[in-house]
Amino acid sequence: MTLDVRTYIVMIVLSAACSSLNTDILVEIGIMTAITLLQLISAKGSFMPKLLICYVLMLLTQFVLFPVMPQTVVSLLSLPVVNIRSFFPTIMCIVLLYRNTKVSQMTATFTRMHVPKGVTITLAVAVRYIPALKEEWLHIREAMKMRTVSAGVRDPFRRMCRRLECQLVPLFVSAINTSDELSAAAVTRGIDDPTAPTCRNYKPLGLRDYTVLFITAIVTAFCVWREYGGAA
Amino acid sequence: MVLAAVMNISGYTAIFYPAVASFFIGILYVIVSCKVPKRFAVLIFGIVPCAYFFASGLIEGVIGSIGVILLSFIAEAILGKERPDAAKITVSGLVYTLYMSIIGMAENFLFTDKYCNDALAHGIDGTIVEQMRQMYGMKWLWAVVIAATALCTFIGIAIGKAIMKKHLRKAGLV
Amino acid sequence: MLELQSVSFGYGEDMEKAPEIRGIDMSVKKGECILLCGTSGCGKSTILKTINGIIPNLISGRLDGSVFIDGKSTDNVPMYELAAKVSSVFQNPKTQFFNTDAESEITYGLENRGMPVDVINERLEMTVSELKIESLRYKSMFEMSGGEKQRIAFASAYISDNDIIVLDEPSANLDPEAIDEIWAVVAKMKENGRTIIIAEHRLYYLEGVADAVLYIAGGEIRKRYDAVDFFSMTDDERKELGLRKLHKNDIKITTELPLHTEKPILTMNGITLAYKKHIVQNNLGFEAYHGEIIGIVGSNGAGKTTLLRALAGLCKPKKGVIKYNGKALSARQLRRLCGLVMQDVNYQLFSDSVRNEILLENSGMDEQTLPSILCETGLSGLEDRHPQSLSDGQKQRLAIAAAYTSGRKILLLDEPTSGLDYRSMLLVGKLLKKLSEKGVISIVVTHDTEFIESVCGRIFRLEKQ
Repeated sequence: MTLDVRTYIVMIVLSAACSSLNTDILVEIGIMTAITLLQLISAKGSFMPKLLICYVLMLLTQFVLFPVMPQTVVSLLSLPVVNIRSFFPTIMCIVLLYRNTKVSQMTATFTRMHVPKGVTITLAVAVRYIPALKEEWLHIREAMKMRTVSAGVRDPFRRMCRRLECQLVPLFVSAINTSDELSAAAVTRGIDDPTAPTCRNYKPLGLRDYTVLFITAIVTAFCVWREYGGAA
Repeated sequence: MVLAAVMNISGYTAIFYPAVASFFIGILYVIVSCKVPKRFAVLIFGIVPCAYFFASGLIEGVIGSIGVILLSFIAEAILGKERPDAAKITVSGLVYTLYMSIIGMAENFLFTDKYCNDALAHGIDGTIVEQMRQMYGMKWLWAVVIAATALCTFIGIAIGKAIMKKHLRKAGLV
Repeated sequence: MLELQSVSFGYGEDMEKAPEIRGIDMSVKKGECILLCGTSGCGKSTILKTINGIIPNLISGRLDGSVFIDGKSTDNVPMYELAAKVSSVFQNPKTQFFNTDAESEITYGLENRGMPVDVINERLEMTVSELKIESLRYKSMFEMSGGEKQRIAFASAYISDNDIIVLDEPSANLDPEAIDEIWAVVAKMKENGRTIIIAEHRLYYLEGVADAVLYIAGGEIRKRYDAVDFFSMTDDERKELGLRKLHKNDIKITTELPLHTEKPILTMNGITLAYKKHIVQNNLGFEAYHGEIIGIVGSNGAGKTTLLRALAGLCKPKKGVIKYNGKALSARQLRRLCGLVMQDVNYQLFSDSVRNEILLENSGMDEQTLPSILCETGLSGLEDRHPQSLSDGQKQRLAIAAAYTSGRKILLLDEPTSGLDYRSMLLVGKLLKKLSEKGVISIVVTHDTEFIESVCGRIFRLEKQ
């Protein structure tokens, strides 16, 4: 099952709102379960077992290990474990968006929503560039492994500078080349055509979108109520 | 993300997160502002923190995200439409990273009690929350954070410019 | 159909600088396929850019003369209107797609034009069946090989009804199998009556497709050949022009191990290689002698690059050891012993000048050595240039020089010559031969039969298991 871009974006924003509002771990587990279920019925690759295991581990660390751990360890781990854990619903929603949205679909939807073309194009290219960036980073790391780039530099601070430079320079160079080549490819395919583009994959919001949006809204409202009104 | 995780290790380091992050943002800022002469580049840069603030709380969050947008617009306006010169980039970058030191830290310093109680409720260890309560109680520290962030942005931008000059411009790429 | 009238162009505003191309006059009839050839930097790509509108829309500079399409000048035509007349395919398969799935990618240009969805779908069906890309249709762009990506790029040019198709070195990053595939697409386009302008280094696959050949040198059209005359040129004539081979041929180099009285320097025994948990080679044996230049060939997925990475110490073989002079080496030791020239050499150039790049690992090198190294690598006079501003061939040689001067005894090269013209290829070959006299072993993974024949002493064939 695939939902609309807009639905995913609303989900991301609201899930982040819930994370910061909600303090009840049971509610959070409920939200996580719902998102995981949604991932399971979404496109292939939306469900990432590793992420879920990560979440469960953090949960266990916080509620099983912390009470029995020495105080120093707890104070060292508490902030990262708790903070990252509570943002997991949002991370999961971002994964959903990323795995279920085609770039062409995103562009078409944004154009319908009258987002300025400049924003849409830059965003499309940026989204497209993220996976390439990772690959490039690995290549540069390997190239650096093959050469002792900081040879002959004694001073640790300067060594660090040299390493930083060696990592950044090829990355920037390739980013610049890539962006030039991508924009050449984009303009020769009429990306700046002022007529409204069509999209084979564009669909208006459907019943499933409204259902998911409705559930999300209710959960958020529940979190708001818990925090600001009612029993608290 | 990774950076945020490292910086969050203890209450004491978390406060310098804006400074460290702004260092890297500074480097990137130079490249983006020189290479993407199109408008909206900075705005897109600002979308993620804006959404973050928006999501992170109700009234404070909305004010925060409006603040980020405002700062991005000012930063964008300083850059101008033409290819920006060095001074403009520095000023614009300094304005832009204010979002981290001012808006990002506003809740911590202005509503310290609420912030700490929330942290406690989320399950963060009591000792750390006490550390934070003490630290954010010292309001002058906010000025230090803002100054440190500005300084780091400045250094980041300087490094970005150095790379620009030493490599990218020499290689004829920009 | 298409006409260029005394077109000249120079990058930048500097009037003093020599223009990139000057006085280009050419006219192309509908349905013709024109091949532009010449050495690197001769201006053939620049000519293409004036046709597809990248010059002056994206790259500004001093442009004179006019391009006419169907009798109308393209001078003040906006880019998107031109995009509805001229389709382009570029050389780098990685940087010309925007979508993550093949179908959206093919139809992207039509969607931008606002064409109704059912028309697009109809055309998509037609394109997919005519170009025989059914198997790629639902594949993710990120899982595709370079050749497959390039076929999708061709398909997105094909699906538009644009009469003019501009191809800028579409084969530069491809292996022979992928080139055969794109050959089929080019032939199909021609059959459909499209007008094709193609700039290429690799010429052999265009025999029978190209109608006329323009030889470009120094930014000018030097000669116009009919295809028949061009492809019947003798080998000496085409070498004189600095062009790559014109016909397909098989490698005639031996796979036999040479008879040696001394012991092999580098030996690998019982090596098992895996790529992403998938075993590609089992129980592989390999040895290399003093100063040998060995070509490693084989089909895609046979583990050539994995073998090279294992030798470089970047990945560990699943089983087996690599020995140098009889001593087993760790990955770390291998990384200090071997120099790797990556397929994309841009990743390994770190410094701000050619001089500093060579001195990066040995800052203590004496003043006398540097000029002689620069001279041997053909980089004299370039020592102050930024490495990223060099041509591809110069970058390759710089990477080799940097590896050699830092005392690497074994050079590993991954597809060093795929995008190089004849002269640059010869220069890389010459450099390897010089180093071979000094005892350096070179191991080259390549598809380039011409390069193998000119430098390699023997080849090592890896078969897919």
